Amino acid sequence: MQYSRSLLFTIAICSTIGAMGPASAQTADVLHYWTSGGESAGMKVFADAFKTRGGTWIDSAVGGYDDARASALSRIAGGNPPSALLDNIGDVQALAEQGVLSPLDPAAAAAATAHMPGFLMSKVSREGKVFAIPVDIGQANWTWYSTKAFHDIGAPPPATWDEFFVDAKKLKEKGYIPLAFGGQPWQQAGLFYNIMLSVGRDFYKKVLVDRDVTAAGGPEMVKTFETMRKLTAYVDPGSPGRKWNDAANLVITNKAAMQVMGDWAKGEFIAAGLTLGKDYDCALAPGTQDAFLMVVDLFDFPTVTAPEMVKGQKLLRDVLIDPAVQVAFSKVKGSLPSRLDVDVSGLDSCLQKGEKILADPQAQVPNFEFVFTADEEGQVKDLVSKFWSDPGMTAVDAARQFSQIVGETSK
Amino acid sequence: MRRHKTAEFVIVPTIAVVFICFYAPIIWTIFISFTRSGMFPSYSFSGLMQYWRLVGTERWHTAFLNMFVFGVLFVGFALILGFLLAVALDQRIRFEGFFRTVLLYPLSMSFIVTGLAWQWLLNPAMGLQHLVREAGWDNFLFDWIIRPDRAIYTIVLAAVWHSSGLVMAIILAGLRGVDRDIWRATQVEGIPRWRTYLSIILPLLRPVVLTCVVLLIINVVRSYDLVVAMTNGGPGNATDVPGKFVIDMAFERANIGQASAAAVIMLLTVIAAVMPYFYLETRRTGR
Amino acid sequence: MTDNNSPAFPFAFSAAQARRRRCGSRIALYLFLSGAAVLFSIPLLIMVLTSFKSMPEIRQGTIFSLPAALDLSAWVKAWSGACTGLACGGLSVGFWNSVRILVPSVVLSILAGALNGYALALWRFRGAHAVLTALMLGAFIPYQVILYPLVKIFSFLHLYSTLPGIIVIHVVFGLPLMTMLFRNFYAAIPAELVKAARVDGAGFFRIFFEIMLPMSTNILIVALILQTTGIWNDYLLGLIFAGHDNQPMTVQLNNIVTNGTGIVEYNVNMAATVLTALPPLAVYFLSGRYFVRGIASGAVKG
Repeated sequence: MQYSRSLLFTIAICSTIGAMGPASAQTADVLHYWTSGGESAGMKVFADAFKTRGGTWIDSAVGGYDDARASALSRIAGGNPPSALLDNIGDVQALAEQGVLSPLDPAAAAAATAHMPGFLMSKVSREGKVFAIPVDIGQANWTWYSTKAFHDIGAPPPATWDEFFVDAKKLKEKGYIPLAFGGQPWQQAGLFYNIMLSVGRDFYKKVLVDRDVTAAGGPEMVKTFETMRKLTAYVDPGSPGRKWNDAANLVITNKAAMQVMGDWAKGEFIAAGLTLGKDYDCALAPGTQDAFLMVVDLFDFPTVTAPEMVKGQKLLRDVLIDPAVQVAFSKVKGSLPSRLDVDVSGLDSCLQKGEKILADPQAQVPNFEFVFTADEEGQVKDLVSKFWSDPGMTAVDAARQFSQIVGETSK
Repeated sequence: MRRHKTAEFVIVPTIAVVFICFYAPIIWTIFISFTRSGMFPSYSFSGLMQYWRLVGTERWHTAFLNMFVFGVLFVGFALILGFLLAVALDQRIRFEGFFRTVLLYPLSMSFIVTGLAWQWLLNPAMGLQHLVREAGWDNFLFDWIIRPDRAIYTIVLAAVWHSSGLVMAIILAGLRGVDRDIWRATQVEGIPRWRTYLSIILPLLRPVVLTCVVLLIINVVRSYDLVVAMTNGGPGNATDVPGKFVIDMAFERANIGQASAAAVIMLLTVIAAVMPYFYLETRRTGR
Repeated sequence: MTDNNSPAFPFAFSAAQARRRRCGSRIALYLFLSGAAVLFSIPLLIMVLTSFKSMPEIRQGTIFSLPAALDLSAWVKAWSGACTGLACGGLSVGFWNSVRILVPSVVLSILAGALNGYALALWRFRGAHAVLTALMLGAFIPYQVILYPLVKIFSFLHLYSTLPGIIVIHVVFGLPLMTMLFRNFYAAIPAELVKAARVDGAGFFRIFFEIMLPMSTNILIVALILQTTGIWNDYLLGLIFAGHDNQPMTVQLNNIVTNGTGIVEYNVNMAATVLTALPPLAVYFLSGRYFVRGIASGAVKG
C-alpha cells in the first residue's frame, strides 16, 4: 500500500511538472545560415527581442545556404523539423505545396500584406494563406567605387556601361583594374542581371516576370551578352574563382576602380576602416538608376506539433513583423526593412537613396529568386559562366540558349 | 575447408546492414531517377525523361569526361609518387618519423580551407607565378587554374598532394611485411635493388596496391570537397565533376530527379570500370 | 610470404664494397625526401603564416611574406571567440562532441572491419565473394545522394539525431573500406595457420583475438589513420545525423569559414583549420612510434 501510494504521488508530481512545463514555455528552433559577422549580429536582434518576450531560442546555425538546406530538408524528412527556417523566396511555394509549412494566423498575415511590397507578398502566399515573413529588402544594383581612382581620371562613376568603357581605358592607363570581379557563377550571374537591367527596366521585367521567350532571345538580350563579353577585357587575370570580398578588397586597396555588388558589400568597406563618401562611395550600377533590384531574406515556418514549439512559432512571428524590431535589424544588417511604413531616417545615405527608389512600385524589380526555380536559375548560372570563360561562344548563341531556359515550362 | 557456422553468423549482420544502408537507398535512387522529383521526392513515373535531359546537358558531358581525366591522372601519379616515397622511407633512413608525418599530414587537413591556400598558391596574381616573377624570371607563366583547358590539372595536383601520403603509408606497411628471406635471396643472386623492388616486391604487394587503387578511386568518386574548395567547378564549368554535379542538382537546384539520374550513371560507370579488375583480383587471391 | 610480420632489413647484412657506391645514392635519397617534404609543406606554411598576420597585413601583403609580429589573437579567437551563429564560443564548443563521436566510431568500425575481413579471408563459406563484392560497391556511392532515404530509415529506427545514430552511420560507411583493408591483409596469411590452431581446439573468436589481432599491428595503424582522419574531418554526416546537441567540431569550422555576405577573417579561418587538424596529426605522430615498435616486436619474434 505504502509503495503504491508513493508511486501515485510520484506520477502525480511528474504529470504536474509535465503539464506545467510546456504551458509556460515558448521555444523556437531557428535554422539559418547567417554565421558571419554582420549577419549573425542581425540574427541576434531577433533572438534578443524573442528572449525579452519570454521565449527560448535554439540556434541551429549552419554555414552555407546549400548545407543549411540539406539540414532543413533532412530534419523535415526525419520528423524533427525546425520551427523557423531562414529561406530564399523561391523555395516558399515548393515547401508550401508539399504541405510542410504552417501558414501565418490571419492577423499576422493581414499586417504583412498591408505593409510589405505587394509583389513580394504574392510570392509567399498560396491559396489565400501567407507562408513566410520577409525581414529585409536588399538592393543588388550598386556600384562600389574608389573615389581616388575616379578622381585620378577626373570623371564621375559611370552612369552607363558605354561610359564605363571610355573610363576603363583611362583607368587602365593609370594602372587600375577597371572592374573588380570574382569569376564565380553567382557573381557572373549577378553582373549579368545588372547588365540586363541596364539595357532596359521594361525589357528586364518582360523577360523575367512575363517570361517572354521572344524578348529573352531578342536583340536586347544579344546586346546584354555583347556588353558582358566586352567587360571580360576589363577584369584582371586573377579573377577566376575569386570570392566577392576579395574583389571588394581590390577596391579597398585602390588596386581596382569599382565593383558591381549588392548592398552587403558595404560591410567589407566598413570593416576595412574606410569612410563612406570619402574613401569610397556608392552609385547605382551603370544604367540602372530607375530600378531597385530586390533581394529578400525571409523566414518560413515548418509545421511543428509540440505545444511549446507551436507557441514559440507564434511569438517568433510577432517579433519578426514588429516595426521596431525591423528597424533595429536593418541598422545592423545594412539593408532596408521589408515593411514600407517604418521610419528610415536613421539609416545611411546609400540606404536612403535606395528607399526613395523603392517607393515607386514601377521601380521594384525582382531578382531571379522571385521568378526562377532553383533548377532554372542553376541553368542560367551554367550558361552565363560558360559564356564568360569561353570566348568562342557568340552572344547570339548565348541569347538563344537563354530563351530556351526562360521558355522551359516543363517542371 | 568446410562451412563454419560462427563465421557465417558474423557475416549475417554485415549483409543486413549493407542491404539496409546501401542497397535500399540505391534502389530508391534508381527509382527516383525515373520520376519528376524536385525539392522533395515525388512518385509519379516520368520514364527516361531525366536521362534524356542529362544526355542533352553540356555541363554533364564536361563533368563526366573530367572524371576520367582526373581519375586516371590522379590514381596514376598518386600511386607512383606514393610508391617511390615508401621505398625511399624503407631504406633505414634517419628522421623517418619526421618525413612520414610531413608526407602524411595533408590527409588530416579539411579541404574547406586548405583549398583556399591552394587557390592563393596557384593564383597568378599572388601565388607561385608572382613569387617567381618577383625573383627575376619575368616571363614565368603558371596560370593553369584560370585556364579552362588546364584547370583540371591543378585539381589533380592538389589531390595528389592530399593522397600520396596515404599510399606511401599503406605501401610502407606492406614493405615492412615482406619476408627478409626474399631480400637475402636476391642479395645472394646479385639482383640489383631497383629490380628486386620492381619485379619481386611489387608483385608480392599486389593486394596492398589494390587497396590503394580502391581507396584512390573512392576519392575520385567523392572528389566533391576538393573541387568546390579549389575552383568550385570553374572557370566556367571546366573543372566540374559528377560528384559536384549530383550534389548541385540535389541541393542548390532542388532537382533530386536529375541528381538521381546523374548518380545512377556515375555508379554504373564506376562499377563498369572497377568490377572486372576487382572480381579477378578477389578470385585470384581468394583461391 | 611465410611470415607476414617479419620485417625487411635488407641492408643490415650488406657487403662493405657496396657501401661506398651507396653513398651517392644516399644523398640522392635524402634530396628526394627533403624536396618532397618541402613541397608538401607549402600549403601548411601558407596557412600558418597567414594565421599569424593581422587582417590589414593580409589585405596588403603577399602570401609568402613573414608576419610582422607573432600575433596569436587569431588562434585564440578561432578556439574560443569566433562566432558560429549566435554563439561565439569558437571551435571549443564542438571539440568534445567530436571526441565523443570519434572514439566509439573508430573502435567499432575497425573491430567490425577486422572481424569481417578475417571471416571473409580465412573462413571459407558460400557466397563470400558475393558478400565482399556487394560490400565494396557500397564504398563507391556518393553518400550525399542517399541522404534522404537514410534519414527516413534512421528516423524509423529512432536513431536519427542521436549520438548512437551518428556512430552507427560512421561504422556503416567505414565498413566497406575496413573490411577490404583487413581482408587483403589476412588473405596473405597462410590458411595452415588457422588449420593448425583449429586442430589445437581454438574457435573462431579465439583465433581472431589471440592469433590474428596481435599479428595485425601494421594494418591496424593504417586503419586507425584512415578512420580517425575520415571521421574527425567528416562534416556532412555529423551535420545531418548527429542532432543539435552532438554537432561535431567541423560544423563550427564550417560556420566560421563559410561566408555569406559578411566579412572574411582569413587569419581566423586558417588558425581554425590548423586547430581542427591537430587531433589527426597527433594520431600520426603517436602511431608512428607504435609503427616502429610493432616492427621491432616482430623482429624479436621472428
